[in-house]
Amino acid sequence: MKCKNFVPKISLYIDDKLPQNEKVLFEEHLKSCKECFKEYSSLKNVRTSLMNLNKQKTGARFESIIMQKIEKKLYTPSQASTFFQTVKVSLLAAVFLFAVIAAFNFFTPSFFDKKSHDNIAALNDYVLKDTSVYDKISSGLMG
Amino acid sequence: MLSDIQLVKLAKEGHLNAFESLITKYKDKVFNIAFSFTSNYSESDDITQNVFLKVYSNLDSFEEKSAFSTWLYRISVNECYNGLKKRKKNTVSLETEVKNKDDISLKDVLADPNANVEQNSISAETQSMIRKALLELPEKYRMIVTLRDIEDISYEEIAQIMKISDAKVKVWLFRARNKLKSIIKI
Repeated sequence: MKCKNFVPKISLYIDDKLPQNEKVLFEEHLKSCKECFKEYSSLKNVRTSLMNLNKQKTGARFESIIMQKIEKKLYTPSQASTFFQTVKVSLLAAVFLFAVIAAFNFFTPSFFDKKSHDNIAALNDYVLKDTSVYDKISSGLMG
Repeated sequence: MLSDIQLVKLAKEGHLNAFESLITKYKDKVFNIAFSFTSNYSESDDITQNVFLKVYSNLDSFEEKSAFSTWLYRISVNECYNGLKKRKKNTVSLETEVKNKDDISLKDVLADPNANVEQNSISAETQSMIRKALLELPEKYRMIVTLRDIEDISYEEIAQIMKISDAKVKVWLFRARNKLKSIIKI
């Protein structure tokens, strides 16, 4: 096995990922080639050092912090649900207001109709009785 | 003791204590991945919290096609990348700080390759130097050595977590270790 082909296999050899036949050839080469053995030792050294790094740990209250956040999320309405709640209340209020106005109009139609009818009739009478008033007003506005 | 799948099922049904058990089981693993990626306690804590909140919010979308741990680590990797993007936007990156410092020389202080891993005997100074060297690696290489060499996750699972092919796992891992070796000047 040539060194050029050998070097990329070092990493696989360290992880025991070489097929058996390649592993045998690799080990034979390793015994006879100082350069490759040095390369192998260096990479093995890197891996061993990484494996030896201290394991880091979370704080003691980690679970309770997460669970509090989850519970808060579960029991606090989201912005979207608050928005839809507001829309719902507004729609109900509008429907109620419309119903009140409609009911009022339904039960008291004659009062408004009669009053407006009387007002129009009175105005017509006034204009018909004295057309000069109309002319006076018009000329006053034009002049 | 309940399996991950059983705990996930219970959590989906609304049993918060089942989800709390999942947090207890995986919190340190997730934190350790984040710390290896950032070398910063506060950021790692934020990332770990975000991971579990996202996991809870998306629990219904977990279809159990892969192991729960694979899905969890996948979210962790994404959160690490997202955290890094935010950090790059807001502040001077830690990588820059490291690059400005004197060259790191670990040749004499690195672990003996034949040492028993269980012994875990490298000094605090060496630990700190290795972590700084890690920060000099490109993100994808930093993540792959974190998953493989620090967390001891299999090639197959790494491929699923990082969404890359098995062949790419092998190539990236070789390049990452090689680059790390050059940084620490062995």
